[in-house]
Parts: sequence; C-alpha cells; structure tokens
Amino acid sequence: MTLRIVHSADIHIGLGFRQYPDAVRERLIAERFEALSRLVQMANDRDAHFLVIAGDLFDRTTVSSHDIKQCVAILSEFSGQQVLVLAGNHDYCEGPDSALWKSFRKAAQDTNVLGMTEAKRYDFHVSDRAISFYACPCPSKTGADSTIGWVSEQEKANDTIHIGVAHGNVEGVGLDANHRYFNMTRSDLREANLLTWLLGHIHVPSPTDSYDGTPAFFMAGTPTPDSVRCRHQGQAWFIEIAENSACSHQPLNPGRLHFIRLEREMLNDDDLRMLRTECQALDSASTVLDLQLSGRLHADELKAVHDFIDELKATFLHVDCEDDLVALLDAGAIAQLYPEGTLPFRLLNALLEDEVHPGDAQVALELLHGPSR
Amino acid sequence: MQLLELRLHPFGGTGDRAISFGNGVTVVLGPNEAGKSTLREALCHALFTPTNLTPAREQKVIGPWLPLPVGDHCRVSLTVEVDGKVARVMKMWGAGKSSSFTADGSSIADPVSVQAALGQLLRLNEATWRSVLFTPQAELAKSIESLSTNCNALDDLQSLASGSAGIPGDMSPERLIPRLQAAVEKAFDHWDVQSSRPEGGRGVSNPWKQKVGSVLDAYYARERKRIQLEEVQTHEREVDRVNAELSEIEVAISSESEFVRQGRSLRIGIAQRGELEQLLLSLERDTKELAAVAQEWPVLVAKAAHVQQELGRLESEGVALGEEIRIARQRKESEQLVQQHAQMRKALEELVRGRAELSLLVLPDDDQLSELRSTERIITELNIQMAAQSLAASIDVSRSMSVEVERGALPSESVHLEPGTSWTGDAEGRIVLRTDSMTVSVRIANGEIEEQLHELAAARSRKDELLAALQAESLAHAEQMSELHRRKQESVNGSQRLYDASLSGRSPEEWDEQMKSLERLPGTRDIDVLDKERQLRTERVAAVNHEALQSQTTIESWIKQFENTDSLWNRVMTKRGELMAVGKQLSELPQLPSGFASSTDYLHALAEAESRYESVSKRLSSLRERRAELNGKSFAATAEELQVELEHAERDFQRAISSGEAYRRILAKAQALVAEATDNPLAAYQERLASAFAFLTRSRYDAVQLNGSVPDRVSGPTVAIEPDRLSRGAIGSLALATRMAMAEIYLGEMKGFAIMDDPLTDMDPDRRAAAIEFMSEFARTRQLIVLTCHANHAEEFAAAGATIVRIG
Repeated sequence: MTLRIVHSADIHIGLGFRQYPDAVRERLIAERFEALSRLVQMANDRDAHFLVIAGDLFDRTTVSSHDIKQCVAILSEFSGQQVLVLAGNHDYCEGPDSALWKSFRKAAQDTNVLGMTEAKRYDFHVSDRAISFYACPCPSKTGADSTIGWVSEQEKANDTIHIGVAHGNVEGVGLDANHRYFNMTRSDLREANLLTWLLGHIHVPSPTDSYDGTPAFFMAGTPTPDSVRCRHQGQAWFIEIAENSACSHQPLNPGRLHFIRLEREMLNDDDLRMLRTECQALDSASTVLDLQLSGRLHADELKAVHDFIDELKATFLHVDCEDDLVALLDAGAIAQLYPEGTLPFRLLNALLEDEVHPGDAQVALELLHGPSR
Repeated sequence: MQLLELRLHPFGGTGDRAISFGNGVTVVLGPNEAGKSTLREALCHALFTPTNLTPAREQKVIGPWLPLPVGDHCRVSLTVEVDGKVARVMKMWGAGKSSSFTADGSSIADPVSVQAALGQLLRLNEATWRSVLFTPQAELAKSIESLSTNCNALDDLQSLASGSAGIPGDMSPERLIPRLQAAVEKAFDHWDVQSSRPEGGRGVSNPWKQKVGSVLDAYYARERKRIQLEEVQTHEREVDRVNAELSEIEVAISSESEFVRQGRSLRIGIAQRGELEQLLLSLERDTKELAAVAQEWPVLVAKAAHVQQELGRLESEGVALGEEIRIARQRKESEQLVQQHAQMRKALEELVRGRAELSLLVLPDDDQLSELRSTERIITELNIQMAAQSLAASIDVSRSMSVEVERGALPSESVHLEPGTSWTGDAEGRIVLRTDSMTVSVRIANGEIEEQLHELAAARSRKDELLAALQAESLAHAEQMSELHRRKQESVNGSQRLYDASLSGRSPEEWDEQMKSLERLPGTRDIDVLDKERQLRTERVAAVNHEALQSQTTIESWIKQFENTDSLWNRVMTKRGELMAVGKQLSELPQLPSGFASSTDYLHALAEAESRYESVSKRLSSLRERRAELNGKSFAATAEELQVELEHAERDFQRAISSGEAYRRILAKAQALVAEATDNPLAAYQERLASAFAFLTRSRYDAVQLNGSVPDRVSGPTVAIEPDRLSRGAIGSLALATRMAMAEIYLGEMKGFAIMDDPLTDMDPDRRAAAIEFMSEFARTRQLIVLTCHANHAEEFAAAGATIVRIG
C-alpha cells in the first residue's frame, strides 16, 4: 500500500504585515488561513494519510487563542489519519507549560490534529504498514545546535518506515552564518538513518522539481508567499511512499497571493512600455508589487512613469515604489523653464556639469519650483 | 500688477471706452487717430498724475485731455489685479476732481493716499515707467538716446540687477539663497555633519524636539527602530535563555526528585539499618578480636618459654665472645709493644755507631784555634798597611842580564832581562834589586816598613806553628774540623735521648721478658669482626628481652582481662549470639539502594539531593516567574519584522543624508554664482541684452558693450559698430532688446506690464517676426500691450497667440 503525506511548513499564522495599509494587511493575514485551508483541501483531494507541518505554523508564541482555534479548526478538516504539527523556532515549545501549545492541545482535543512538541518517536499504522515519525521540535527561537542528534541513536525496526520531522537551517541550503537556527548538516541528516526528513524553516522548497528519487530531506517552503523575498508562488509537497519505500513527490501550490519585486532601470519610453507589459501580465488583484525604479528620464517621460505608477496603485492589491528616478534635465529643458541669464538658468546649467551628481539639477529644480509630484 | 481694464470716460477724444487686457500680449489695433496713444496717455495719468494738482499745473498736464470743445473734466478708471486680488483706481481731473483706490473691500479717496497706494503697486518711479516700460509711438528707435539722457532719473538698474533678479522668471539671490539655505537647514537642523551625529550628542533618549531636520528625523526613526529591534532581540534571547535553563533544570530535577521521593520513604529504615550496621560491625570486630586472642593466648605462652631459652643461649655465647675479645685486644695491644721494642733496638744501634764515629774525629784545641784566629787578623792588617805603601819599579837593561828582585815582604824573585825590553812591578814598602854587580834597595822613607815587615814575618811564622799544632792546613780548615766534631757530638747526644725514650721506663731486660710473654698468647678473630658480632648479639638480646617482656605483659593483661582461656572462649560465644540477633534485625529493614556502600553514604547523598532539590526548586520557581514575566511582555512586531523595518529606516536615513548633501552642493554652487554676479552686477543684464539682440538680428550681432546700462557698441562675427550707426531696423531691434532686458530687471518677479506704441514699423518682416517672437516670450509672465495701426502686425502678433482688441 502506498503511503501519502502532504508536507508543509512556515505558514506563520500571526504574521503582522505591519508595513501595509489596514485593508491590505487584513487581506494578507487572511491569506495565511486561506492557504492553510487550501492545503488541507489539496491533501484531502489526494487522500493523504498524513499532513505534516514541519514547524512555524504560527509566527510567534504569543499568537491569539482565536487564531489557534481557527488553525486547528482548519487542520481538523483533514480527512486523513493524522495532522502532525511540529513546534518550529517561531512557535517553539519551551516545555510542558508552553502557553501556545497548551492552547493548541486544548483546541486540538478530540481531533486528529497532534502537536509534536516533544523530541520523540510517534508511531502510527496505516493498514498493515508501520510508520514512525521522529519529531525534533524547537525548544526556543534560536539554538546553536541541531535538534536531531538523538535520532541516530534510536533503534529502527526494518519493517517500519522511518521519517524525521525537524525545523532549522540546513547548511548549504539556507544562510545561517551565526549558527542561530538549529543548523543541520547533510551528514547529520544521513546519519540518522531514516527514509527521509520533512523539514521546515527555509522558505524555499527543496528538492527542485526535477529531482527524481528519495531525497535525504524535503524542505517544504512556505505555502503562500509572505514577502518579496519569497520568489516562488507558495509551495508544499505531496509525497508518496511505495511498498518498496521508494519516494515520489509532487509540488502543491496552495498560495494565491504574489509578492513581486520589479527592479527596473527606466531610460526611455520603451522601458515604460516594457514595464507596462510586465505589469499587465500580473494578477494585479492578488499581487503586492514592489517597484524599484531608477534611471533618468525627461520630464514628460517621468510624468508618464509616475502616472503609470498611479494606475498600478489603483489596480494592484498593493504597490510599493522606491523611486530613484531622476528627471533628465538638459540645457534645452532648462531654457524652456528659465530665460537665459537668470540665476536659476545659470544654477541649473552649472549643476548639469556635475557628472558625479547628475540628479542635483533636478533636486535644485524641485527646490525652485517645488517637487514635480 | 496686472492690468485688467482701462476705462476712459471721458478722456481726450474718447467719450467712454473700456479696454480689457488679458495675459500675455494684447494688441490694440486701430487706425490713426482712433485713440491708441490716448489710451497710453490715459493709463499714464491714471497711474502717475494725482488729482490734487494746482490749477496751473492741472491746466498744463491735464488740459490737453479735456474733451473738446467744452469738456470740464476727464476721468480714467483702471482695474488691476495684484497678487490675485482686484484693485480699482479712479481719477477725475477738472471739475469735480477726485480720486479713489479700492482694494480688499476698503476704499481711500485722499489723492495723496491714492497716489501712495499706487506707488506701492508700481514700485518703480515714474521716469522708469515712462522711459522704459512705456514706449511712445515711433520712439523706439530713439530709445538708446533717450535712455542715455534720462538714465539718472531712472531707478538704479545696477542695484536692481545685483539685488534682485531682473529677467522674467529670474529669482533674486535674496530669494534663492535663503530658500536653498532653508532646504539645507531643514535637512540638517540639529545634525552635526562633521561627526554624523545629532548636535550635542542628543540621541533618541534625549532627542531634539524643535527644528528637527529631515536627516535627524530619519536618524531618530532609524535609531528608534534599532532600539526596538534590540529590545525584541534581547527579549527573545532572554526567553530562549530562561527556557533553556528551565529545560535543563527540569531534566536534572526529574531524576533528582525521584531519588528524593524514594529516599524520604526509606530514610527511617535506612537510618536504623545504619545504626544496626554499625552495631554489627562493632560486634563483628569484637568477636573477631576475642577469637583472635583466644587462639593466640597458648601460642604466646609457648613463645614466652622459647624466648627464655633463647636468652640463656645468648648469655653463654656472650661470655665466650667476651674472652675472645679480651685476648684479641691483648694481641692488638702487644703489636704496639713489639713496634716500640723494635724502635728501642734501632735507637741503641744508632747510639753505638755515633759514639764510634765521634771517637775518630780530632777536636781542635780551643785556645790554639783562638790564637790562630788572632794571628790571621794581624797578618791581614799588616798586609793592608803594606799595600798602602806601594812602590812602582821599572828596569831597562842594555845587555842581557838577570836581576834578583825583592818586593815588600814577598820572597825574592829572579828576573831575566833583554835589551829593548823592560820590567815593571809594584812593591809594598820596599824593593831590592840585586845583580851580580850591585844591589839597589829602595824603601819608603817613614822608617816603619822594616818593623812592619818584621812583624809580618813573625806573624806568619806563628801561624804556621799553630796550624801544625792543630793538624790543619789553614784557619778555615781548623774551623771546619771544630764544627764537624761539634755536630757529631750533638748527633750522639740525640741518639742517646731517643734510646732513653724508647725504653719507656723499662730496662732492656724487662723488654726482652715482655716480648717472650707475648709470643705465648692464643690466636683470635679480628677485633672488628668480634665487635660487630658483639653488637648484633646485644641487639638480639635486647629484642628477645623485649619480646619476652611483651609476651609476659600481654599474657598478664589477658589474665587480668579474661582470667584464662576458657572464660575467654565463653565470651566469644556470647558475642556470636549477639551477632546473629543483629543480623536478623537487619534483614527485616529496607535494603540499601544499589550504588551506595553504606546507609551513611545513602543518607548523606539523600541529604545532599534534598538540599539540591530545594535549591533547584527555588531556582525553577524563580525562572518560571521570569518566563511568565517575559511572556507577559508582548511586542507589536517580531524581530524579523523589525529587521525589515530597520532596513527601510536605514534606507530612509541614507536618502535624507543624500538629499541634504545635494542641497548643500546646490547651495554652494548658487552662492558661487551669486558671488560671481556680484563682481559685475550687470553681467546677467548684459548677457540677456546681447542674447536678445542676437535673437532679434538673427545673430548678426551677438555682443553688446555698455556705457552704464545703455548699449555703447555692438558687435557680431563680422562687424562691430556704435549704435547710432546701425540701420533703423537694427537700432529698433537694439532698442527693443534693451527695453525688454531692462524691463525684466525692473519688473523682476512683479507681474507688471509694458506698453509699446507701434514698435515694429521700421523692421523688415524677418526682424519683425523675430521681434514678435521675442516680445511674446517676454509676455509669457507679464503683460505687453502693443498699440498699432498695422493690421498685418496685429495678425502676426495674433499668430503668436496675442489677443487683438480693435478700436476706432
């Protein structure tokens, strides 16, 4: 019989999105729950036996009980055998008295949702197949040592599928120069002598889609993006374990929101046209757009860009724009604004000669006239 | 000030006409005599001619404008806009003369006040307006001449050019520099650029409240964010630390608590076990000791008997050893006697031999020896005296002959002489030469020599006698013989003393008897061997004696303690019974947990564990309180969120710095430009005039030299010429350029106006087109009213965007 597991992590319920306006923030917060719900639905659609969340279901240990209950309610919709929720570094479990996990356990009572807050083996049977999950929860937000050391010392029955669940950085996959996030090495993972590991923490999924076979570990990636740093559309894994223990995996994409950063240099109308085309190709209602524009444009071109940004703001879920655009002033443009011989005329032309600070002339113009926008 | 409407009602030949003016260029088109110039004059009077003129003055100034034939008054109303507000001026001269100025809902009627209000609007003096901004018909070409003539009456162009901008759209340094300075200040207020810190080191804990520049504001924002982040990170670290410690303690306390819990239930039983174990140990020790005594007692008794035997044997051995030692010592002492005896015999032999040698030596008689010494002294003294009376003799012969020579006391000698040779010699006191044929005797003349020679001979004779008697060859020999005899005698005396000493008070016979008795002593071992054996024996005796005493003491102690062996064995049996009873009691008590050697060890470990447990429990409780306290402190954002916000704040700060620095560069550049302009205040005006003239002449001329503010010489790529030698068209262009350049300076940023009455009449179409374009440019920010009778001119203005007003 084939075992089916949906593996996710890093949902970060409780993430505040403080930098966004209220309406956008509410939409982004809601998306975390909705993505979780879609994930459960995808797992149900695939008759998954287990839904494993490898840490950071919650963004912080002080998440509200309302959010906890809502999460558990969503997870308990899973129609498979068990939802396993590991304590990650954001929602770490400091001990039996952990307020978060007490609330979680209370909310999960009489459901198939189980918080894995102790470093131990959790044994299950699916029909005639035995499967053991080796839970390695985080006891704190940061930790210099990995949490998986104990697993290699465990005796492992041959007729059981052994899978590790942990949360932390994997050297060579994520960056943790200061060793603050329970760093694991690939050899640590291999030495545990398990079929594979289901990991969380790094928001980038691993392995790549093209990987064939049973990887030493799966990194879930967040199911729905939470910032422009997340370059994927939101992902989880659907993993099937055949009778012969061979693994196959498929990506799931429960996310519906997009964080897109466009860094573009604007030098002429063509650049604006290209930017317009790119933006038109995006799902504006579901996209938080982060524009990083730079370059020098003529005043009319600059105005066109600014008008376009205003258009984007009206249609996109949210637009942030770091605008380092500089109006391209030339002697002709200055002469149109100021008669020859005037002090502004001479000042602006003198500033134009400063090649090290090409934007100074535009700044000066704004000081003379007030900002163009 | 901008003109909105001018109404003449009546004025000159105009009964009632109102002209409206728009922005830019307004062209008033009308045929000759239609009243265009009247309009210009009406405007002039409305602006500059008060209504309180004296009758004579009024007649002179206003008289020409009273309506003919019998008009007794003329009136002009002017509506203007100033800074977005409308003001109205009305002036009436002649009958019913009056004036009014209405603005902002209030009105003034006093002619002086009205004129003062107008003066505030006009800013420039009347001469400037009339000479520069109002150009009468066909007088454009005369502009250069009239400006030169009237220049002293005009407002000072230089001060205006240097003090404020003079070109439309220009900005005076007085406005620009403060604006830029304000921007710099707004950026860097309370920011120390040198140290890149807030002024006075006032960070976010003590921030500036007033005049916070954009840089400082961004700095504070960033610092506040950083502090928030540090606070959150510190909080998170503290939470992690507390949790880690809690976790560690909870793990440690879980095993400790089990041990303590179990220990508390076992404590009484284990404590009893401890006491019984002590008792058991004591009983075991006592039983073992008693049994050991009981077993040892007969052994010790037998051993005591054996020791007594051993002591007897040692005693008899000691007697024999003592005798052997005595004899050995006697033999040791006899060896010395034998040596002394040998020495005695040797001394005797020495004595006998010395005596024999002494007997062979001659002992000189002391008297004879003494006389010999005296005689020797006399001889010596006489020889000295003789030597003091020395003679020197010389003999030469003429034929061979022998001569007997006596010198002093010396024996005579025979000397053989040959002719040609001579003999010389010394003599003491006398010399006698004898030949066969004569004797020559020479003596010292004092008469004593003979006596001395006699005494010397006598002394020498006595000496010889004495030597013979002493059997000596000389005095020295005699002395040597005497010394040799003395020494030998002393040697014999020494041998005698040595011999006497070696006898040691015994006679030689006694010595012989002693030697014979010694030869009869028996042989023994070496005295050292015997001494060592005696020492070992003494030690052995002491040890055996000690052993005997110890055995005896022990046995006596046992007897005193236990009476006898039977009673001792009874005691042993009793102790064994007690042991069994205690063992039974122990078996009924809880077993000692494994890992402990004794109940004491266990109870000690339990006490320590309890102490640790109590201590750790307190720490645990404290940590839990701390965790609750930490958990109770909530933050609006996580460290990750704050990190992102801090990055934004950092970028904002860098932008603020960057903008501020740009402002500083711009300000520095502007100040440099202003400083340059101060050197030649009319430079900009001259440049503007030259560029305008170049534009109007299609670059035939592109440079203008000034005399004061008026062109003095113009030049182009191929020509340089004084203005009065220009063509009418070119001079018209120069006049237009000059008036416009001046007007720009005079009007500055004021929204003013200029009036030109048919300015284009002398220009060819090309120059006219340029002039229209130029004038339109001037009118972008000001009003320009052009009066003309030339419809084509008006059309060309209209094509450039001008408003056409037709009159007549």
